[in-house]
Amino acid sequence: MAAALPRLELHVLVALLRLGGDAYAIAIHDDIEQVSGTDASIAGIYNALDRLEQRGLARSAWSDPRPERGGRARRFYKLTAAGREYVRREQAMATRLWAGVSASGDRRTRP
Amino acid sequence: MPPTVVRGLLRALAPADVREALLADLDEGFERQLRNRGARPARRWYRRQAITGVVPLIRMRAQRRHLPSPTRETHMTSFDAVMRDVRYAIRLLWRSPSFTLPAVLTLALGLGATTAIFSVVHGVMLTPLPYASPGGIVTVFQDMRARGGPEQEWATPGNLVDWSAETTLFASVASIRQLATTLTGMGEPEPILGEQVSRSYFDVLGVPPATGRGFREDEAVPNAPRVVVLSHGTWQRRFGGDANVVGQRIMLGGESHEIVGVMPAGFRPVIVANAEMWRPERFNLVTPARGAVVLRVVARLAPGVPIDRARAQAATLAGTLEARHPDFNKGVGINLVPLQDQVVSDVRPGLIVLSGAVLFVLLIASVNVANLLLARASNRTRELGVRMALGASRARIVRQLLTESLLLAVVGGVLGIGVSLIGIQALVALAPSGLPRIEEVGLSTRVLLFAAAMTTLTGVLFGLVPALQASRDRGPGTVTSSGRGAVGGPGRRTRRLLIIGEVAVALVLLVGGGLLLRTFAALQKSDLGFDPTDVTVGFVIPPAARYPDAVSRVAFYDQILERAQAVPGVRTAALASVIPLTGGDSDMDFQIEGAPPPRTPDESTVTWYRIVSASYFDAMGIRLVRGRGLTARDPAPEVVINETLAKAHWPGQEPIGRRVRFSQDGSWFTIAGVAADVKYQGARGESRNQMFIPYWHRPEGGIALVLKAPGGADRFVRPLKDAVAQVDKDIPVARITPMTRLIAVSIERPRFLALLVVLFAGLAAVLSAVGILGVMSYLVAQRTPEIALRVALGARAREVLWLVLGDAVRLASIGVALGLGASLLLTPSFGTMLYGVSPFDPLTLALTSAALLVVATLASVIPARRATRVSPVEALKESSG
Repeated sequence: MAAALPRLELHVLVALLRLGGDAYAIAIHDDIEQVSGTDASIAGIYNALDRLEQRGLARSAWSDPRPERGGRARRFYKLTAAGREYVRREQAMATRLWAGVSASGDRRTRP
Repeated sequence: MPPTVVRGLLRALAPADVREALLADLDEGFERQLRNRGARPARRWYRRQAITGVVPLIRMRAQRRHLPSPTRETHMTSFDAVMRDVRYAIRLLWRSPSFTLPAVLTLALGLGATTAIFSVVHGVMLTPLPYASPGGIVTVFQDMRARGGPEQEWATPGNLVDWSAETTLFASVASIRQLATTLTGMGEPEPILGEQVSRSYFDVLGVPPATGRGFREDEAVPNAPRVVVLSHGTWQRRFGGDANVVGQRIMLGGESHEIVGVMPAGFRPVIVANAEMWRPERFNLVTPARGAVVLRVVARLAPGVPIDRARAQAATLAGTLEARHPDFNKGVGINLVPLQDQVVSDVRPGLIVLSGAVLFVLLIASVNVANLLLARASNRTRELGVRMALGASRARIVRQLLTESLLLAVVGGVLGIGVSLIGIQALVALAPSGLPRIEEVGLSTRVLLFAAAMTTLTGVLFGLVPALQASRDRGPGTVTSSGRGAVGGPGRRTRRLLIIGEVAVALVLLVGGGLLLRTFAALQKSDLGFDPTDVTVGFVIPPAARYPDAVSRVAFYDQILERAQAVPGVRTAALASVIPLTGGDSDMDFQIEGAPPPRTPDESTVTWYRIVSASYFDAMGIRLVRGRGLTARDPAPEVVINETLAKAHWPGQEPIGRRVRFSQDGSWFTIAGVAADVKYQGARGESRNQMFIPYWHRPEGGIALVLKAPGGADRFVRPLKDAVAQVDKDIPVARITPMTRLIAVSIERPRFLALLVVLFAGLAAVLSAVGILGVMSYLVAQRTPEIALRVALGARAREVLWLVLGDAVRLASIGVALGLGASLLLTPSFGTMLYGVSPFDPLTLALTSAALLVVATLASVIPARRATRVSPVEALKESSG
């Protein structure tokens, strides 16, 4: 299994999954903002995407030039199969890790 | 649009492959912010994105460096290019220490000196005073010019009261005067200095006591109970920082005072720099005194009133007061001076001269480095030629060379900050006592920013000319030629011009330093009208509470004089209420017998006066030009006047035997003699009317003991204290000082200024000598084939020597001529900083010019001798090979 990802990279990875095919940096930024309330740095997101790409968890492609952005292309990112698998395992792990714990710390019995 | 500069920086920083996408995304985010939240938040968002983007972008760059990328070179950003130039420059400079080391050291000296001086200018002149909104605080003077008086006269209590009532002009008004008294009941009696202030002092400054409170209205009226606010230092030193100090009592001048507050640490007193306490004036505010100007007044302008409007309002107010009190306020204007300007007014000219001097040094340092760079560039002709032949553009070469010079400047600047740290410490340690705000001098952020700006500026300044010169396209021959064979080599004229400029600037500095040095010498030699040799003074204040009347004070003065005279080794002991060069003085009205009594204050006759013992003239060595001195226990009261007073009131007549008195019903004093003028305010002070009055007829509180006693002041400290303690154990003798020391202190500032300017001038001369040495060596190397040819044709060593020396002397002479011209233009601006020497002093001009010519000649002796050793065979072989 791959080594644990830094927090922002994990956020970006999950955002890629949630956004499906339409993930470019602004959309990822908004998704993270919605989930965690942080106004992430766009450049930071690019750096995270860069790392994910290097580790084979994501890949990028240029869109066709779009009229509303002064004819500039967007760079879109997608999860690779490895990326999808990574998210699945992280989620399972997190579910196990947090089972039976409440944030305030008092114990709950298992059902 | 997003902020252009920020966007440009991001563009430079972003790796090529994501650059367009990142910028487009950020633009999109910016536009969304603009739509949803407005222009300012959008710009703020963009800036924050840029700031938080720096680290990730640099990381991405670092990651890319390890990856092979075919697009890297073609997509190279300016950032990449700059980094490459920097790396290249570091390698080059590191490899040629014989060039880099002198260049960096020269720059470090120049930039260090500049930064050190700027830190003084910044701390003393530019930093706001440590009060709340200090810009709104002004000193309020009576403008007495209409009455032939000074522009900045202190104020009467009456005017203080009237000014305070003007609430549309002043938010608050306060008076201040020095308070010198004695602290008793805490061990040995100690003299203590403070400020006696009106109630609103703390309001004007906007600094309340840190503990306790300021003064109440009922504490500032006649016969109110005595209260006092302590300075932080006094609270720490004398009360060990006792938290319960408020409410305790101390004895000041024989009276019990309740401590009501303690000022915060770092509080800056307005007029008494080392004040230890503040206590309220107890004015009669109902019928305030209007005769004597005894108060320094500061005020805070009403909120929103700018200084111009305040001045206009003050002029109107002066008119109103003139009409209301015609007897006292006729022709009395109101002069508002911002406190900041007031505090530094007498040091500003000196600081401006120093700033100019140090910038000149920096200029010479820059020129030297430019020279070194030129020499180096000519050695690199081949390298640069190859690069240009391979397609490097001229801009590319200039950028590379500028990067090198900037790098040199940055290294020099960093070392310079180290130099300036030492310099600042030395400056603060050597600074004359009483230099205002010297404690605020140090390396602050703004000083560092200044250093950085100067570094960049010099880097571009000295780098640009050589860079443009070196990058000039010199045709196809450049690559093959050796780079030094050509007779008219590159930059020869430039270099000669630099030498001329350097010599000219150095001469201006030398002339300035010379004039200031002569000023100092003149001040030191000047005759003040008394003989300070072996004279020691010490100050004694009999507290009014214990010596309330004339009889008790005369008895006290009689006794201390007698005891002091009995101290072994004392030749003459004397008393005087005013001592030369201590700053204080007092004046009063007097009437001349037979003259009509004055109808208005304008018609009254005024004189400065001192209370003295009969022995004073002897002890101080003051010459009597007519008549005789005072005699102890004169049957009828007598006074001595000075020459100025005699000339003012009895021109061409005999003043001796005339009588004067000091109040309408007072007794008459007969003039017994005329003393030579004494310059109480120092050599530059004017000669004032002076009257010497026997202490037994007018025993005012506060007097100085004057001892004419060979053997050094230190010997007499203990005996003098003991002598006074035998009379009254609660009275200290303060500030026991030799008169020669007071003179030294009074000329400390001109000495300090002369010292620094001469130091800078010396530095400038040495740097120009180094520059001349470098350039002449270069020129000799350039002319080697020519010289070889001359030698081959039979020229003698002496002729060759003169060939080079003559060239150097010619250049230096042109520089000296230009420097003389510049000096003549600049030195008149020294104005009052000069004393006893004309700004066009021929001796100074001649000596400095000669000195600089000698230095220039000596500096070119080494290259000239090298020229005489040129072997024609070797040289010609080399140049043809």
